[in-house]
Amino acid sequence: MTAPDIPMSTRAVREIAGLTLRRVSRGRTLWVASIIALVPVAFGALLRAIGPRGNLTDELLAFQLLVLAVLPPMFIASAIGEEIEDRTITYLWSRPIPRWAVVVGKLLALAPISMVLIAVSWHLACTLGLQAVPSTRSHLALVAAAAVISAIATGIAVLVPRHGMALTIGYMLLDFFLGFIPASIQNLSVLHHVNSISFPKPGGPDAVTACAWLAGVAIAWLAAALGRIRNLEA
Amino acid sequence: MSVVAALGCSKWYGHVLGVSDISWRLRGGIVGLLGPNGAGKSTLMKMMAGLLRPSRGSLTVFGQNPFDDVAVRRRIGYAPEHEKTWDELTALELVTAMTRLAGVPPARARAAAEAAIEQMGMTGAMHRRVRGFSKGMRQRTKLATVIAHDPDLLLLDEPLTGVDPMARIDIVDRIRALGERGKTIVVSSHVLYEIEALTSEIVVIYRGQVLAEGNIYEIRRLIDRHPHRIRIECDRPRAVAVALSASEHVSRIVFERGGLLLETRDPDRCYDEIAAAVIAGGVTVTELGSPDNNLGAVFDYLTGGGGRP
Repeated sequence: MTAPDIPMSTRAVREIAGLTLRRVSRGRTLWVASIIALVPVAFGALLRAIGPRGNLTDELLAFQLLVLAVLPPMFIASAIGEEIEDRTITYLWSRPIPRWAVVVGKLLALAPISMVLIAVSWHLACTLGLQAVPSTRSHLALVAAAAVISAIATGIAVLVPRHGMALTIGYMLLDFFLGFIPASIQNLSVLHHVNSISFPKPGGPDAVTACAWLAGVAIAWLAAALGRIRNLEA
Repeated sequence: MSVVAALGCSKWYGHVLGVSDISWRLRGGIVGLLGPNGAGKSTLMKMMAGLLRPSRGSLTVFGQNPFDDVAVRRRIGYAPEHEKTWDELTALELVTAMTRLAGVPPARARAAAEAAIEQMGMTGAMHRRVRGFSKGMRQRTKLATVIAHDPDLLLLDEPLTGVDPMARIDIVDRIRALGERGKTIVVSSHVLYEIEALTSEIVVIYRGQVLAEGNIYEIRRLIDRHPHRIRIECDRPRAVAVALSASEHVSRIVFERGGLLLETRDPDRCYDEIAAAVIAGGVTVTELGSPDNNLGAVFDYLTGGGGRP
């Protein structure tokens, strides 16, 4: 036998990311997600058609946060969950690649899609609805949140593959309400931090603190995913 | 060194036992893993492929633990039992991706994938998406993903399931050809004749344990020492019974609806006598077969539960 080289972990991650992108580009998820991303844009267009009604930024953001709660789980949780549930993961794990490469490869392929869709959706919604270009700050906050929610979706999908998407959306709805609790527990809320970064309020957390909390939440969920995947059997 | 060495290997899924205290060594060649559904074949396969970790005991492949040792998995090619693959991809894309993930450098992976697809007789369909493939084509594509990186050990879990008879013959030939090229191949099946077509070396697994291993004909000969039943469905069972009643090879005749059931200790000669009786009597036979000539009989015999008068 001609012994092939063991793929470097980075090579495996790149390969799985490429495979994931190819599959997504040919599946329905991307189309469905694009339509969902257009919902805030349609809402913005409706606002414009109705006419000016004061400051509607909060309403538009609420719509955007709902889309934010749905898009990353649609991509990540379903991709990881289906791979484990359909047992196609056996093809990957029987190869000489580290198990975490599968999770990281999928995350790196799919999280940017959610981030781009969210950013474009927010931009178009504000431009149409408010007739104003949204702030860079709000863009960055939403994009960061999409990345964090992708990490949450990854963790939940690895822990509960069968119901990963539904549970992540449920978690994000809980997260939404958690943000309204006037106690330190609201720091665990991703959507709360998105709000506070996008539209800073007096007495609210500063952007750096909010980003640190977001990073902490993402790292915690990723650590859970990577810890579990090491011992997961197919 | 053994290709596969299992020592006191057990696997539980919660309270359900997958395999129990298996000690087994595989040194090479084509070996059939034979057992009914739920016997533990797939569990054993998955442990060899590094997908499951033994709950107790050890299982090594080429001296390494395949669950923890990433490197040893490049010497393994595993085709799972299930049909699911990535349907959005073409056969060539799928096999190329799997080949690259098996460690073949990207520059060589496509050529290796094309060669494997050709070897499986799928060249004409390699640019088609897997979504539209028949079961036989899926099995061939799966086999191509297994052989493309030129592994030393091939683990084929039920590779003939759902395949039509013509494709079955073709796939069997291709697997045998791989064996002739010196590959160690473990093929699982719950159908005796599928394994028989591939190899004479079998491991019989039942309720998570290895009941017997060795030459399939030896095992079947042991079964033939016990009474062997033959069922004949025909238009005039009484005429057949009369013709066979004097035969020294028929030990018992039982009339059943639409036919009769014979018991014999020498099935080969008995079949000859049945043929003679049917021709001489002008009897129309609608079905002729043996309820013992299947895997169930092997298990009945090996477990002491059947094959008795």
